Amino acid sequence: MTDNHAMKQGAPQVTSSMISSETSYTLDCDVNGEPVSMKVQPSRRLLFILRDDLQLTGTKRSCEIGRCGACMVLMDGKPVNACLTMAYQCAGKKITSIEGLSGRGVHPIQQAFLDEGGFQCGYCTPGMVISTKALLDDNPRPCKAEVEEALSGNLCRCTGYGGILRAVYKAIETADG
Amino acid sequence: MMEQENRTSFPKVWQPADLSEAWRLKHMLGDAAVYTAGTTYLRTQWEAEGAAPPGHFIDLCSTGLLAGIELKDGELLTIGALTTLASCRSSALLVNHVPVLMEAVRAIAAPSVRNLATIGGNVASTFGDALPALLVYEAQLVWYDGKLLQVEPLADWLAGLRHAAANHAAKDNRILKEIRIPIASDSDVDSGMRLEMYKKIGRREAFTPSLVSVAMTGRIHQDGLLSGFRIALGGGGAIAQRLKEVESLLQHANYTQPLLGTIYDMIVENAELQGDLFASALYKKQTAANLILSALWRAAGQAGMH
Ligand SMILES: Cc1cc2nc3c(=O)[nH]c(=O)nc-3n(C[C@H](O)[C@H](O)[C@H](O)COP(=O)(O)OP(=O)(O)OC[C@H]3O[C@@H](n4cnc5c(N)ncnc54)[C@H](O)[C@@H]3O)c2cc1C
Ligand code: FES
Ligand code: FES
Repeated sequence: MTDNHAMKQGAPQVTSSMISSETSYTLDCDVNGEPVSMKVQPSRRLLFILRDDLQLTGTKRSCEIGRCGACMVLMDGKPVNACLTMAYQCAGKKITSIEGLSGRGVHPIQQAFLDEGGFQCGYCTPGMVISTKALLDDNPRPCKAEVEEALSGNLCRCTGYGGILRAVYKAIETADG
Repeated sequence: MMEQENRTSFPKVWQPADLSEAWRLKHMLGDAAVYTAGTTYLRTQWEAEGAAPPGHFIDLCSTGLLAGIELKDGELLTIGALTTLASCRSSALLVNHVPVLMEAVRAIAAPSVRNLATIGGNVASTFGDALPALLVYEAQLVWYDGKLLQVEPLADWLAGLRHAAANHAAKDNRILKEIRIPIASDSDVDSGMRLEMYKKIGRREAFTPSLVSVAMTGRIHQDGLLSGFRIALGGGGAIAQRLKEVESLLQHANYTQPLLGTIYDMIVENAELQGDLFASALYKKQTAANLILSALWRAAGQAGMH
């Protein structure tokens, strides 16, 4: 055990477990198909790792408390808010940000948002697209209630949601062929 | 421009190998440390309420503490404390055996938060929206106290919290291991139509903190006889509570319109709900009463009573 604070208390022995000091933690994970190994604070949030450390600025920063969905990414295929997720919670995981969705091309879900006017300023759009991707990977033919539940954590301040819902239904149709 | 995280010091993260190590760490570090599961409730405390994160996180996810939902011998549903709310949301066992809890989980946050958030964290936060639903199923909590496992009825734990809050007592260091829900076998339940209801009222339709939440189970028979009612309230910062007086009144009463009026008055009088910045205590009590009455009225209609 190496933590000074704990040792000062003269407490029973703890054999392992502190994964951090100021500099010692190495995060190993996979971001958009590339292995990443970096020294970070274990409590550093994924939002800042993506945007500031890896320059993946497609993931947007807004409320920072999990309430808007602008920072949505996939962790092992499931949507999570990058502003709620800390480095140590990403260890060994596969992270997909909006940049990783379709390599250099336009993903069919992104195309559906373009075709249906599913955005105005576009700030919420990466998060909306990621939540839609998670939904359709899990359930290719969701009903209205399932679409609404899947997107309930994504807020848009511009569109009034009509265009967004049209885009999601268009993406479902496209995937159906 | 770089958008740096605005922190001068970062918490240290501990990943204990088992529960006893986690407990020892908490014992050593005291208030400087906090147990962490999904950290989603804790984040609301640090960010929205402006409190700084403590110096140490004790990550329970590394302890081998179980996540998962099981039905044992057809009569005990166990939910590991680290089970995510997303796993609860997709559990056939929950839909089939405890639909009120499933509805409560559906109403908590949004899918992305539920992928991190755990049921144990929801309970241990003391204000989680799952609590009224767990109360009507008479759930029990299994705690690790540093040496032994203790089984405690959820209702007793909540009563203890109410008492501790009134006496400004410190929280204990126990670790929640699992939630147990006794399942009534078909032969245990008498006939009649089952009423199962969970409703959460917030300041908007979805993805909203609760102002008040109501859970109810019971039976309505064709002759209007009511039986086996369990009703619980929570939400909006209130410690979840059973409405025992109302339950006793309903037990073997016949459904009538005047009975609804009596229940309404009883709820408004007895519910322990506090006002906050957004809604008065009276608004919350009246809302709870209306939710309960409308569910009873609807069920009575389905049972052919009006
Ligand atoms: C955007 C957003 C929306 C939310 N909406 C809702 C909502 O609608 N309804 C609702 O109820 N909650 C809501 N929450 C709060 C939170 O997501 C849930 O309560 C969640 O279930 C907490 O689980 P967790 O694993 O993240 O707990 P954590 O935040 O890790 O822990 C919560 C508390 O429990 C303690 N703890 C955790 N696990 C254990 C354990 N096994 N033993 C002992 N102590 C433990 C921690 O020390 C802490 O005090 C929301 C949070 C966010 C960020
Ligand atoms: S920035 Fe993460 S949810 Fe708003
Ligand atoms: S398009 Fe502007 S916030 Fe959604």
